[in-house]
Amino acid sequence: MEKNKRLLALILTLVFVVAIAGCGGGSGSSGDKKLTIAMVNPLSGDAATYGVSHKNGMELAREEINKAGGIKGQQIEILFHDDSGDPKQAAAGAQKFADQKNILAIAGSCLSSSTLAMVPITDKAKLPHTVVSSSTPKLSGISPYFFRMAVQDDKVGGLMADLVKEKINAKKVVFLYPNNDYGKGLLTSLESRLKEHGIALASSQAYLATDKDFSALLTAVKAQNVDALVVGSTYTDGGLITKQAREMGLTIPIVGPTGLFSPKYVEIAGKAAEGAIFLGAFIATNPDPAVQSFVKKYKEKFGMEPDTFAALGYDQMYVLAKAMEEAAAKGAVSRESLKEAMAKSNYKGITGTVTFDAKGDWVRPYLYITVKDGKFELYK
Amino acid sequence: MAVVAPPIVKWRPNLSKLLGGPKAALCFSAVILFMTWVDSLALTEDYIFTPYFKHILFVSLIYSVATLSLNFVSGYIGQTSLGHAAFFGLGGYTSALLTQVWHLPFWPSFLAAGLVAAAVGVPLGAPALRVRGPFLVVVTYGCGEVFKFIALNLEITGGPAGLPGLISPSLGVSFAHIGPTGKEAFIVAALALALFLAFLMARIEDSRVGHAFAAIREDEIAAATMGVNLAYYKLLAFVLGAFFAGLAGSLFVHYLSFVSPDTLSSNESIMMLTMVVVGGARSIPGSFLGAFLLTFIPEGLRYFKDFLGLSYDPWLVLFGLLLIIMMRVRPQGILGAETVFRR
Repeated sequence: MEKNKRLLALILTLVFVVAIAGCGGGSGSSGDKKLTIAMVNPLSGDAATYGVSHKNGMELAREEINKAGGIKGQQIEILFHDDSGDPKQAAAGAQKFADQKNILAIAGSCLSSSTLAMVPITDKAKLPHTVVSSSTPKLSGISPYFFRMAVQDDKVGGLMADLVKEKINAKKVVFLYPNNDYGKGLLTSLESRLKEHGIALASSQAYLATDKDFSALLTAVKAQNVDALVVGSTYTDGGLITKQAREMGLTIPIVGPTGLFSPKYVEIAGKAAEGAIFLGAFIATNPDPAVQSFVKKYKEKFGMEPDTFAALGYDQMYVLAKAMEEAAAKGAVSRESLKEAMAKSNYKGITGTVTFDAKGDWVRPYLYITVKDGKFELYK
Repeated sequence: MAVVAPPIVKWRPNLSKLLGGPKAALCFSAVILFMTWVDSLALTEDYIFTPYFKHILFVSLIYSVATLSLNFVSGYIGQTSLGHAAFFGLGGYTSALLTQVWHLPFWPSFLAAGLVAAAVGVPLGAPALRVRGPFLVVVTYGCGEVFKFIALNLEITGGPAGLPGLISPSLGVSFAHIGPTGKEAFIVAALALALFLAFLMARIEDSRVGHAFAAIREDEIAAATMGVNLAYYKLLAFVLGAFFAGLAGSLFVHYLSFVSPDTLSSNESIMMLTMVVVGGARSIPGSFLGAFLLTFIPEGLRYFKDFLGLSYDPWLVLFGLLLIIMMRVRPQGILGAETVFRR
């Protein structure tokens, strides 16, 4: 009993000291000649794969920039906050970094919900905030300090219409989409862009995102005799549609959004995935020399192939560095001057040329990706 | 041959009594209010208590309310509920929708959040009339998950991304514009809610209702034999708990100005139950202690991690270790009450 009590007291004291010491050290040092930025991302938990890739990409770029002399002799430093994919913890991280006046910009999170919880805080602190995903339309134009290196969901439909026009040269297509905000957003933008291209939309059919059997829908598609089947799916429903369409003997090209660019899609659709065309931001087998040089450096440092988040993180660090350079040319870099420079970004990176529109979104062309022998490659 | 019994140290009951008294409540409020407002009085450029600290303080107070309200079920009637975040999130979604879709002001929506959560507490509490122990854990866990999936899939709840841009409560002036960081009024509101609930619970404990709860907890059959209406009191515990969890959820989402399905997740429920277990079931100061410890420690450990340059978050390891030690050394929690009857 006495022993237990002492043990408990010891543990509690330890825990308190740690907690209090931790809270005291909140202000952080405003180190000399250092430009500090911060990242809030899931580095543990279910979504950690995205967060860790994003972090790795940024770290690689940061090392390169610092090795090359930094920004006017100032080295770049990144601080990290693990939000475990929880919006509450992401908001705490954003607040922590917003309080530290030497922090110039904040990156992340990968998840829309966490980003939505962070934006009110970064907006209030006038802290430039940039993400590489979080594609919900709700974030468009939410704050003048928010810069999204991603195409918002609603715009992706138009980009699929471009694909249909450029690569398939179809005259008549059919569109299947999940009956949610995402699917409906795709439908609106797809419809208007198809009209611009003079392509007929024979019909558009909604299904429930949880549906498993698409045979009825696909029978109707087959009867319509169209040139291409466009889907607005993620990998699960997209994989099932692809599989069942091929089983039914439907041989027309299948076109999809970025959601199909996942190993799970190939896993679910199996052989049927061969030849499907969809949108993607980055593919490691892209023969572009800039991409290949990045892939090589990344593999050397982290021992694995970079994914989309890593590539976007790499570009994001360079976009921030370029903006810092711009701002530094006019005086000391501050949150305000960095924001002004970010808004004028025009940087050609490995995932495309990064520019932001008036709503802080990146309107960009995607790569066209296909599946060959069970592997992703660029569609030619 | 009389064996000399070791002297029984009564420090814990004494401490609990001291912490549970009105003086302790006054001191606690004074400290919180001091930390909240000292920056407005001081004329320094830098914050003494940073907005980040105030954020953690507010979250701790909100969790204190959630933990206190969970005590009705998991403390007073001694049933384990793993679905408490459902009430918390439901309150959040209710007031979010009322203010955003029907443009009601905050305060009626706040009250409605509690009432809707309480109304849902009835069907969610109903299984507790028939099942107990591990079975009730499964039932409440399942019910909680159902609400999360409803929020994830309905259009009106904004799907996985949730609903951003919720209004800030206002009393003439918007809460977001009171104080140097805009968090001060929220802290005061959360403190008031927590103290009101603590006061209510302190009054209930020694009332007829409180005694009925105790009778049910210690022996259901005996309680029924004595004429205690099991169904009524069990549902009452669920409804009371749900009502206050709903209120806390509403205040919380309007503070964040954002609600997402994560507020309904089972992780949240588990965290709330852990706070009860660590702080001590059926102890009002214990609920505060559990909520503050489990909110402040993980944040403190982040600095610890950066300081030592660890590549992993030590919280994940320590969290498990803390629970194991608690279960071994003090299963009823740091300030938990002793049971009346030993089995």
